[in-house]
This record gives sequence, structure tokens and C-alpha cells, in this order.
Amino acid sequence: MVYTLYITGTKFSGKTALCLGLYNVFNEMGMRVGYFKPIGQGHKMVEGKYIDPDVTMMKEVIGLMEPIEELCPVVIGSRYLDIVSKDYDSLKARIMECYEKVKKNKDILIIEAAHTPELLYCSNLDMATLSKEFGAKVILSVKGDDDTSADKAMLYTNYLVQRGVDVLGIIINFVPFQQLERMRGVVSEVLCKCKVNVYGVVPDHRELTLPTVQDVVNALDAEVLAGKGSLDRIVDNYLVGAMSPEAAMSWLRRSVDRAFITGGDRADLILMALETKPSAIILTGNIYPSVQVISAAESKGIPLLLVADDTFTAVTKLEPLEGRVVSFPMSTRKIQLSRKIMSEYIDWKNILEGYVDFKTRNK
Amino acid sequence: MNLDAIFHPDSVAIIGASRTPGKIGYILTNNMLNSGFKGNIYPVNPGADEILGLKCYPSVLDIPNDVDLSVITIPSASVLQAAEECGKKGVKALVVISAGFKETGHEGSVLEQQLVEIGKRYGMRIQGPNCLGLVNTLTPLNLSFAVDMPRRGKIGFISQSGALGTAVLDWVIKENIGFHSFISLGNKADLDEIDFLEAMSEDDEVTVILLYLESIEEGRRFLEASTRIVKKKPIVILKGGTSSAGARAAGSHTGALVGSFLAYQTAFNKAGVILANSIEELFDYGLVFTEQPLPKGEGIALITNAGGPGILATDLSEKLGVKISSISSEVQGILRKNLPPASATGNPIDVLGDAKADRYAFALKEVVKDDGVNAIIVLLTPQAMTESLETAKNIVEMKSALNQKPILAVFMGGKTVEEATSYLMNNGVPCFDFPEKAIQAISAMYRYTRFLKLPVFSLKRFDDVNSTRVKTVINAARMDNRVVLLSTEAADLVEAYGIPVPQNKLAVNTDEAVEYAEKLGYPVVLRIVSPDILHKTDVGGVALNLNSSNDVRTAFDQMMTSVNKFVPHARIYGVMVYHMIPRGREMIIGMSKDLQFGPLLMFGLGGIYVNFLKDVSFRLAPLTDNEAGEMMEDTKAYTLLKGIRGEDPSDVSALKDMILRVSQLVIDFPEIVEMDINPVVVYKAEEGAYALDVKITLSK
Repeated sequence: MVYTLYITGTKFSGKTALCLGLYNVFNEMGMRVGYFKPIGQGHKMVEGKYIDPDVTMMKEVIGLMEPIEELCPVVIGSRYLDIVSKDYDSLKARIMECYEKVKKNKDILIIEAAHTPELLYCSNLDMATLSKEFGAKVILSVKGDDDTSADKAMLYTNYLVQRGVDVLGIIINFVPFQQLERMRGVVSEVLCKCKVNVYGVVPDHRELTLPTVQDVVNALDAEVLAGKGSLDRIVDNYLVGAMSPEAAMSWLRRSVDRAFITGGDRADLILMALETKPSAIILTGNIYPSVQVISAAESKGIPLLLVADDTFTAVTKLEPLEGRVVSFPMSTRKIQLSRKIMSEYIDWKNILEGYVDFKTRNK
Repeated sequence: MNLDAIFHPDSVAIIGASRTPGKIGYILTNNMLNSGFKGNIYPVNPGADEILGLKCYPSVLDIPNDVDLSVITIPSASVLQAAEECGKKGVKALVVISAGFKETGHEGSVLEQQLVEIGKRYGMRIQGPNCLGLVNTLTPLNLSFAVDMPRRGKIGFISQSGALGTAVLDWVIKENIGFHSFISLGNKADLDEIDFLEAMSEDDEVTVILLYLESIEEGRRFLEASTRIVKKKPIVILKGGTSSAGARAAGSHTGALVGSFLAYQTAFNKAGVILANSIEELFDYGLVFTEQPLPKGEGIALITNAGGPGILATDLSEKLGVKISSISSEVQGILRKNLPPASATGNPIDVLGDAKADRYAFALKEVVKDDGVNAIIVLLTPQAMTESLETAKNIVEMKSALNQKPILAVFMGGKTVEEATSYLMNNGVPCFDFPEKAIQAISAMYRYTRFLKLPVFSLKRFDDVNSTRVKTVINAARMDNRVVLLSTEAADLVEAYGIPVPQNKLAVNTDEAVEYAEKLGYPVVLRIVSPDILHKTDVGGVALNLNSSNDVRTAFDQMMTSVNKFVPHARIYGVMVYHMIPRGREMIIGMSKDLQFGPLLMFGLGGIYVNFLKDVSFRLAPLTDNEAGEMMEDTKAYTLLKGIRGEDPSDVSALKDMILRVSQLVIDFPEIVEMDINPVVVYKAEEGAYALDVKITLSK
């Protein structure tokens, strides 16, 4: 009998990262683990179909054998209500059919929910409904911004319990540096008093949700002029260079893992940036730098990306990149980080105890 | 450095020599033949038996005798093989004219690296690649594209732009300026400007070294070498890419970081290198340094036959800090007695428009006797009675009687003074067409002599510093994967080097903040501690003048809320609590590590005005006591520090001490790449100075 764990949570609360971490932990224990995302969400159409980038990432990184349509049978766009209500029966049937397939020969199945727990409540395909169909146990991930996280956690937990869902507990995720003490102390205590299990307080590891240079290349449709070997570097924020080289220097030196955005004709800034080890240099406006400049970047192994957009458009396109674990190739740094988070901050053994209970109960 | 194989080879192989006129291989062989080179010339070309009457060899390995120097002009793809053969043959140096290396992109870069490795393996030094060769009038040899050679002289000229060099060669032949040698640097794969500077400094036949440079890659090495060489002979540099647009063009052209002109200027000043602002100035300076002795003391005399040029020359002299001598009363008396009554006997000495050659000669003879006159400029405008050629001849004749005082001429006009000008130039008296050029040239001579006269100051080292404490702070930041130090860490770090900071503590919550405030004593200041916040005041990260525990609590909570709102992603490590010190004058001491020249220190008026008034001065570390003093004196704020209108003077010596300690700190810890102490609060004399806010960035 398969143990199904349903990971849900608030928007951008680190659900995919959690699924990835849990998958690895259980897998290393020798269990047969599966991954399933019944309802995916996509913004980009590929060959006339929406694709959920989280699922593609999971499939690639873990090396899942099942076809993508099986791992994520339904992908919705932003205007979904009419379509879902019209095709309710067939969608539901497809989800259940795929679920049966994916869970075959597995000990544990990790199911990732869509953006928020309430999504598709109107259409009766929300995660509460589905979790009951799957007989799954639910873990709720909540973003630990401030004290309001406790109330949000409580609200969702109570809602799910009232819907008859088997909630194991919560994980407080993405906790900013300055809130850590408060989340571990005051917030966890308050939740404990309200009989909510807290399985972990995870600090904000922005690195995990930061894009790599390759993501930037994809998002901007950039031409890689140099540094092809370093596309798995992480990009933590951007620095737009339109100032004098002297002024830029101080900013460049202070920033770690930043991508530097400037024009291809700013040889002075590009050459200076190359000295401060940025993750990448993005040249906007389709202005080719001179071969000498490209050569200098190549010899330092720093990616030099040429894009057609102007600086403002490029930055606008880069903004939505953050907050997802989408990365091809997944940087080794990220994978290591995901393991570290599991071992240091999440009480996954206790999560597993639910599984043991479950097994004994079903004997 | 011994570059004899390049400057004075006994035998030269021309790899890629050609029989076809117009080809580079032909031009080089022909130029070598016409140069008067006394050694053996070996053309190398597998397709020819004889070139221009010389026996041709299929490979350098087939040459029966030793070869000192090989010049390579074959396509880049074949250069490595040719270089390898030269290595096997025992050739001592290569001049690689062939293009197709670093300047063409990454593959070319790799090829260039391989070429350097071959050179290293066989101990061959390499000039170029992608250069336009060299000329040496002493050997003589001509491995350049310039058909004619300049006349023999004492100017050594090194150029990063080959084409500029070739154009200049052509021009100096026309101007009849003597040259010792011309070197085109090309890509500087192996030999760079510093190597050639060293070689020319050791050559007694060179009296002045001129350089045209766009970038200096090894600034510290350049600084060290030029400081040494300048004591022997002057170095004059024309620097390309001094404007922001120029730097962009130069960077794009060479693929090397041009760097900030400010750093170059500071470095040149420190080393005593003279900066020229145009090609013309470069050669004007070269000319006066080779043709004339250095002035022994301050004070020049101007002898003119027209008021206007004399006045213009005087104006510029004052602007450039060239002293106009006051002519002694004895000399003035003699002049007054013998010159027409309308003449001016002060300085400038106006011999009037009707002056013939003899009147100039008389005035010159008498002025030279004045001990207060250490250099002379003769200005001439062609007027009805003027005898320009005769005057020129008189000046040249007087040269030996000048008692080693430099003399320059300004013969204004065109056709009528042409002959006289050539006569002066050919006889060792630099002659200019406008007075400004002469004044600029003499000012360059003065800059150089003043530098030579500077006493040698030794560096002072402070022993009361704690390097271990600095290392501990740096390691802690590294462990935390940070390049920006927290304000508490930065304060700790500078204190370890004897720089006074207010006593402080890092509080992570309200209770701690109150506890420390009570301990340190009210009033206290709270300041946010985060590596991500640069301007703390702007985001509500500073609370001043807190007088009670209640104040501290409120300020702490407000600060957290405000900072969270303005910079939501900032990592907050806590709050720095320190005892509020009284107000004083606010200064700034900063450092930014220049990529070429190393730590560039800044001093000036601090606080919030620094970005607006820009009253700052710069020096390269390490500083001598004297340089630290000069650095302060360079600013307008120094007048304030000395006390004006009955104000108390500030503790200037405490400031100087702090500057010198920062200088030592950044030299001892090269991983510090940026540093700002702003403000440094300085009190009345003897009352000291404090580093109130310290920012430090480490290298990655």
C-alpha cells in the first residue's frame, strides 16, 4: 500500500523545493518514491499545450521515468473556470487514472498541490477534494514573513480539517534572516498551543529559488557570446550599469552572484565588471561588443549574453524568474542546498512516522 | 633588463621575406638593407633562393650561422612553427609583426598564449605580436614599415599604437628630430612597456623616454620601475583613453581594462612621470629634455621684441607655476643704459620691434649673467627690421656662454622665420612657433627637476597594530560568505590598527540594546547592522541622541519596521549601539583599490557633503608622512582645519596619523578592496579624531 503525502501551501512557499528534498531523503533511504502533480499551472504554451515548469524540472532533475502527461495530467492557464467546469468528468477521470499509474510499485508518493489550497474549490477539483480521493496526508507550507504567518497557518489548517482532510502539520518556509528567532520561538509556540505540528522552520535560502544563468538565457532568448561553460551559475539579483566605471566598481565589488546589465558598447564597464566575478554580463540593445571584449570574457569564463531587448524590457522579463526552482541544468549548488535544508531544518523523520502508523493501521 | 638581441643584434632573420615589392616581407628586407645594418641579414622563405641580392633560406634552421633576432611576418597560423624552429636554432629574441592573435578573439588569444609558452621554453623574449616592429638609429636597424630612418638622436619612443608610431616616424624625419629608437608594443604578449622602459633606462644613449600608452596592465610594477628610472632620466607619457568615451574606445580596441585616469595621474605624480596632453606636447618635451640641460634653479627670463607674446608667456608661466625672475638692478642698469629708452628692462625684457640681431645678442649676454635667471626663452616676431636668421645664429653661438642654463626659442610667424627655425632646431635649440608651447615645455622641465630635488622620505610603520585581530574579523566574514563587513566588524578591524572608534556593541534584540545602552552610558546612537544597506540614514537605520531605555526600545522597534519596509530583502544582523560622541569637524578617509595601481586613498571634507562639494585629494598607498601631509594640504577643507577667523585649529596630526594607519592597513591586507571612514570626526588640536562609521568591502 502506498503512503501518499500531499504537499500544499500558500503561493511561492517553497512547495517544489520541499517535494524535491523529501523525494531525495526517502529515495536515499531505499524507498521507492514517486512524484505526482494532479493540477499544474502554466504560463507558456508549448506545442499548443500548457506546461508546468515545476514538473519539467522535477522530471529532469530526479530522472522520473513516467511521461510528463502522466506526472501532471491537467495543466491550467489563468482563465480556467469555464474549461474545468465543462470538462469536469473527463479531467477528474484522467487525474484518477494517472494517479493509479504513477503510484504503482511505489512505497511513497509525493503529491504537489497547485498554487494555493483553495484553487479549483468552485470546480470541486481542489486539493482538499483530491487528497480525500487519494487518501493522502497533508503537509502545509507557509511562508514565514512575520507574525501573520501563524494566523495564515491556522486558517488553512482549520479549513482543511473541517473539509475532512488528514493534516499532518505545517512547515514554516522562506523565513527571512531577521525573523528566524521569532518563528522558532514565539510563532512555533503559539501554533503548538493551537495543536498544529510544526515540522520545521526553514530559513530563506534564496539561492534555491534563484535562477541560473541558463534560466536568464532562456527568459531573454539571449545569444551566449562567451562563457558557455558557466551557465549553471546562480544569479542573485541584477545590477544595471549606466554609470561611470569608477562608480560601478564599488557596486560590483559589494555584490555577490549578480548579473551585470549594460550595453555592448560599454567596453569600459564590461571589462571592469569582468574583474569582479559577476555571474553573467547581459548586453542589451543587441549591440555587439568588440571581439577583444568577447575574448576577455571567454578567458575569464564569465558568460556574456547578448539580448535584443532594451534594459528596461530585459529587467521586466527577468523579474518573474525568481521564486521558482526552475533550473536547467540544475546547479549542483542548488541540489546540495536542498539536501542541507532537509537535514538541518526539517523533521522529516516525524513526517515518516505518519507512514509507519499508516502501515500498521492498514495491516 | 637586457634586450640587446632586440636593440643591437649581430644577425637578423626575416621570416616571411619576399621578392614582391609592396609585401611586408619585401619592405622589411629592403628597409634593413637600406638602414646601414652592419650584421648579417638572412631572409627566410621556402619559395625563394635569393631576395634583394641576399641568399634566402627555406627555414631558420637552414641558416649556417647564429641568429640573434628573428622578425616574423608570416600568417598567424604558421607563426608557432616558425617560433619553435627559432627556439631550436637558438635565436635570442623574436619580433612578431604578424597579426591574427589576441586582437581577433578567443582563438587568437589561445594562439598568443602558445606563442608565449614557446618563447618561455626556449628563453626567447618576444616583441608583439601584432606590432609594427622597431627602429634603432644607433645599431642601426630598421625593422619597421617606415622607409626612411630619422636622424640619430637620444629620444627613445615606445608606442602601444603601431600606426601612430609609424606616422610619428615620418613626421620626425620632416621636423629633423633625432631619435634613438622606436618600439611598437603590439599586443604586449611577452615584452611590455615596463620591459622596454627598463632596457632604455640602462642605455646611456637614451636621455629621455617617451611613451604612448592606452593601458598599463601591471600598474604596481610600472610604478615601481618608473619611480626608479625617473631618477636617471625623464619619462614622458601620452595616455590615450583619458575621457570616458576614449576609455570605452580604447577598451574596445585592446580588450584590456583602461582604468581610471585619476589613478594614472596619481601614479604618474607619485613616480615623477611627466604627463603630456597631446602628441605635440610629447615631442616638445622630448625635444627640450634631449637638447637642453635641466634648469639649476627657479626663475626664467623672457626676451622679446613684442609686448603681446611676452605677456601671454608671462600669464601661462604663472598659471603653470613657472617663476618669472626679477632681473637684478645691476643687469637692469646695464640694459637701460644700452637699449633704447622705450625698452622694458624688467621681465619680460622687451628689446622693441626694431631690434636687430645684435640687440638680442646684447640683451641675452647680459641677462645670462644674472644669477636669478636659470632659464631663458627668446621670443621673436618678424617685424620690418627683424633679422631672424642672424638672431638664430647669435643664439646658437651664445650657447656655450650660457653656463648650462637651458634656452628655448619662440620664433613666431611662418615663411619668414622658417630658415631661422630650422637653423635653431638643427643646432640644438628647441624652437617653437607659439609662446605657450615653450612655456609648457619649460614647465615640464621644472616639474622634473623639482621632483629630482625632493628629499627621499621613508615609510613609517606603526608597530602598535594587531594583525591577528584583523585576520579574525576577515575570516568571520568569509565564513559567513560575505564580502561586505558589518559596521561592528569594520569598527573592530580599524581599531585593531590603532584607529580610535567609539565603544560599541551589537544588539540582536530590544533587551540587549537597552542593556548595552545602560552600560555605555546615555546618550547613545543605534545604527542598523546589515551588509545589504549602504545608506543607513536613508532607510531609517540610524537613531541619534537616545537618552533613556524607553527611547532605545522605541527606536529599536521603529528601526526594524522602517528598514523592513524600505529594504525588505536585507539581511539584518542586529543593531550597533554606541555612546554618542560630541560633534566636531567631519572629514572622510576612503580607499578604493585600483585594478592597475592598487590602493588609491582619498581624503577630504566628509559627512553628507562629500558627494556634493567633492573637496577631496588622492594618493596611492603606501604613503610617506610627507605625502599624507600633502594630501591634506591639497584640499580646501585644510584651510578650515587650520582654523579661520579665530576658530580653534583641528587636530591635524591625529588626522594624518589616521591616514597613515589606513595606508598601512590596506597595504598589509590586500583583500580589502574598498573602504570608507565617513565621517571621521576631528576635534580641537590635541583632542583627537574618531572613525565614526566605517565601511569595508573585501575581495571575492
